[in-house]
Amino acid sequence: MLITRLLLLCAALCLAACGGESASTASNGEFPQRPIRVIVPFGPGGLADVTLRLAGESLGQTLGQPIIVENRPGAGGVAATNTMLNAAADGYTLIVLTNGTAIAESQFELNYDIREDLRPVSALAWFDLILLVNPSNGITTLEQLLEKGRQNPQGLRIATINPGSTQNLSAELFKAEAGIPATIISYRTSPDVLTALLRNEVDLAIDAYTALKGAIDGKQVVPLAVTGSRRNAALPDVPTAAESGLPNYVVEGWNAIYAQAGVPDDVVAKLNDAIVQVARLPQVQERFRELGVEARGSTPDEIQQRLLADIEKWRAVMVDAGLVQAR
Amino acid sequence: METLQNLALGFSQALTPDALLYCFIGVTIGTVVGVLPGIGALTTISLCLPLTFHLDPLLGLIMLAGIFYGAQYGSSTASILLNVPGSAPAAVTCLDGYPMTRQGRAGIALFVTTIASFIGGCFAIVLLIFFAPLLAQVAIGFSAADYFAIMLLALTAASTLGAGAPLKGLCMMVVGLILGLVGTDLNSGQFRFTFGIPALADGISLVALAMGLFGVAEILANVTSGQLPVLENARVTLRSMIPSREDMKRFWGSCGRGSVLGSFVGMLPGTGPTIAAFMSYAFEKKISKTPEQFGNGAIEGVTSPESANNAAVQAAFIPTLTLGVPGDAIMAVMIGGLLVHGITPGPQLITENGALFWGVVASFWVGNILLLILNLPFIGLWVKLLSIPYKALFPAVLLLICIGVYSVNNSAVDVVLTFVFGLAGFCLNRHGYPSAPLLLGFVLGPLIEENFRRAVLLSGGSLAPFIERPISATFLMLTALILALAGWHRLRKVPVKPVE
Amino acid sequence: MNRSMIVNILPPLALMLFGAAIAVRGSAYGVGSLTAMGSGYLAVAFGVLLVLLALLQLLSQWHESKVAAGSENAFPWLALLLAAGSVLVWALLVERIGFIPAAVVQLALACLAAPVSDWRHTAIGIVLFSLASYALFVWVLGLPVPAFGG
Repeated sequence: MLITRLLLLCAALCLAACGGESASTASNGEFPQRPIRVIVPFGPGGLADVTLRLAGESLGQTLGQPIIVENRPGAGGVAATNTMLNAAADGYTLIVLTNGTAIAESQFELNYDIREDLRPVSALAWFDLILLVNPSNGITTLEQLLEKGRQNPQGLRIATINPGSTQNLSAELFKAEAGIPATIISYRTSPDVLTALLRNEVDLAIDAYTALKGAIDGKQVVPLAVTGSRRNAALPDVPTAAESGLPNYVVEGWNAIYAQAGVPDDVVAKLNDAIVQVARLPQVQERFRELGVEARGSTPDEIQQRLLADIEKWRAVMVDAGLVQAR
Repeated sequence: METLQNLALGFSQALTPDALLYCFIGVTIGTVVGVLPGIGALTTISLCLPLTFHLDPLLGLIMLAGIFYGAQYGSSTASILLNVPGSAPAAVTCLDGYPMTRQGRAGIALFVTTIASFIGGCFAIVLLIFFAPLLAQVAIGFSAADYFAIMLLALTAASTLGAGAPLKGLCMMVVGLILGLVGTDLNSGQFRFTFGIPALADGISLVALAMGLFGVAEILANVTSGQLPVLENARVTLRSMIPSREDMKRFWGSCGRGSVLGSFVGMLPGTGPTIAAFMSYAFEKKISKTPEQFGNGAIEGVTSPESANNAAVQAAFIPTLTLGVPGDAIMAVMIGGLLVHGITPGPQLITENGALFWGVVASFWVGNILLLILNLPFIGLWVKLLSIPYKALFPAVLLLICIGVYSVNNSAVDVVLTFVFGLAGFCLNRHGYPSAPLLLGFVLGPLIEENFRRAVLLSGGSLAPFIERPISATFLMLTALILALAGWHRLRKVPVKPVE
Repeated sequence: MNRSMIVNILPPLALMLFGAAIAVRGSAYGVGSLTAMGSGYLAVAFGVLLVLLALLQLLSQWHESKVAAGSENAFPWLALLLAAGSVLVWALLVERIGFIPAAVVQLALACLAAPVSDWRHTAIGIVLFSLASYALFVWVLGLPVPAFGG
């Protein structure tokens, strides 16, 4: 009996969380009439998931309908995209695409064409990667690290997560741009990368700020540079890689909302409006900044250009690194 | 003294009515959902994480932690009663738990499981409270070479798990090692044995494998046996749950060893409760005077993995809360939960958010005691489940397996894999090939490969670190010793005890 | 050689075949050396190891020649097919026709694997259990599957 009651309690919580989906209906037949579901190609708790959930609440208020986040993790977003494409093209099912999507494009044999089957709505979050070292080695600038790499015949040992991730390819790109010998060592998760750096078994780690925020704040690891085209608002004292002697080394990650190709223009326009507006809200800006992420919307065209450019960029890196065959 | 003051602060946080309520909700959801086959702590937490976004961070974390160890307690129930593990670590509990049920000792098995879980959990909490920073430093000192040596020892020591012919067990272990290769090679990024199926790029789902080999295969065996099992019709009295004096004598030692081993494995980042459970089972069998009882309802075969897996899940909080390094995937999800609240775990967490840290730690204790209170009366209820006729029970269990496997990645491909492994496991079990070594090979194989290759890469292509590092060298020597002993027994033609 | 003996040598033979296939396929991934392992190194090693172990098992069976086999005369193929198939069918249907119909079909197939005594009760049970699991997993725990339709 107790269980039944508890389950009912949970159910009530759930309903409360969803804002009573059946209760509210917008008037005069305008989009949206019912809750909008957004598919996240990652598990709960990841960067894409957390940012979307943070923005989702405000977005739901702006649109007058709740946003329901659905996680479909795995395999470069293939499962997530297929789920998306199986739903009706009415704007009530959206998907989060990321820079990882651009990489998956060259990695997998896909049964869809991201350029044809989806249409862009807006960017949502922009982030950079951080180059980190262990403080015990006395290295405080990127120049010093590069110098060390040049002098050591074995080169640098760089820790990142799995091959084919943005982090890993950024390490490949780093190696190419810096022109120094380096061994890239793959770990399964960001915490493993952090552990390797704390243990001082690698010279450099490349990962996103969110994943390693605790260690950076706790001064366990030292950020040398950020990979963005501008400094990271959460780390204003840390220079960009471009400032520190690698002018062409720029890596920017992003999360964007996409809809199906068949969704009508006015629906896309309305969604774009709402997302751009939400990204400007002070509380959203603030929460994103804590995560080392910048909240910024875009025009559909802008984000599509970025997606296309990134597909080319990462394909070239992967071909150079021998991860995929040139097409 | 300071620790005690902190603890007092923690309890003042954890004993508020709100905190107690959410702790209770958490452990109850965890227990109930954990009992369901296939749905382990990770899935439950992933599913419930969004619920906590609207709560106060402390309450949210208390509830999540409650779900976490509640699921851990609950997942052994189905293993013992139906040979269908509630989660992957609980597969080890099947080995002796289910034989106990067939001997009419289900009540005792569930009782000792509850107590062993409680002891394992509490032991790790004590470590967490008093030694967390120290232990975290130790845990982080283990390098790739050390991991390799430990995992190799685990694999060697446990190569003949359960009952049955050693050679058949070895075959299955190698099959497990092979299945562990499926997916993206961590070092080169190359896809191995994925056959162009994107869902396989991340490897075979552990839950799909465990549910197929243990859950579905067991049901198929029963359905085709021509006579459906009648598991229990005796009334469960309090007395039938109380272990005999002989049981208790064997209980304490195994439980203590399981707790220590589980805490050790749990605090190493990247391992987790499944490995802890397997290792402690193998260890217990190794040192037992009666290893032939293992697989036939030995009580140590239940208590030691159960105490170990609960100790492991609690010990996983040690690196998480002190270094911000999650011990396993579940911790990573919980950290995500904290991030939503704008709190970052890490060494500064204790100073900046002392009330939160100690509140959660104190709530672990409260939660474990709640679980004990919750579980003991439940035992009777669970055993009554067995009085449902099997022909009504198994279709429902199959459905729950489907849903459980699906919910891990929201992937139908995983369920198809469960079907394949269920059929294959059924055929192989029928011919005396055991499932447990396969699962162990599958879990350890990737870790062994990954750490070996990483160690060689880090040393610039040299095998020296394996012998030079004291930890690694010690474990490799132990491995060699076990192999040499096994060979020695063979040569001497000592009546073949199942020695590895 | 009797029938049960053939049945008993099938598993080791199948394992040998599996091991060989893995080794052959794995060699295409690049073998490398011990200190510079290719992606296929362990695949080949494990594949070969499995072939050897299964061969050993086969020989030891041959040697013993006393084979313990179950009475194979009336194996309930239909029950096996229905029970195992119900899992496959659920997997194929759930994203196409929705949670509740998939659950009903799965439960019905599985129930057929054992003799059904009371049709009406079974049918009611199936529907109730489908609804209950829908309530728990989709409604309470938020599993993203619609009740009906894909």
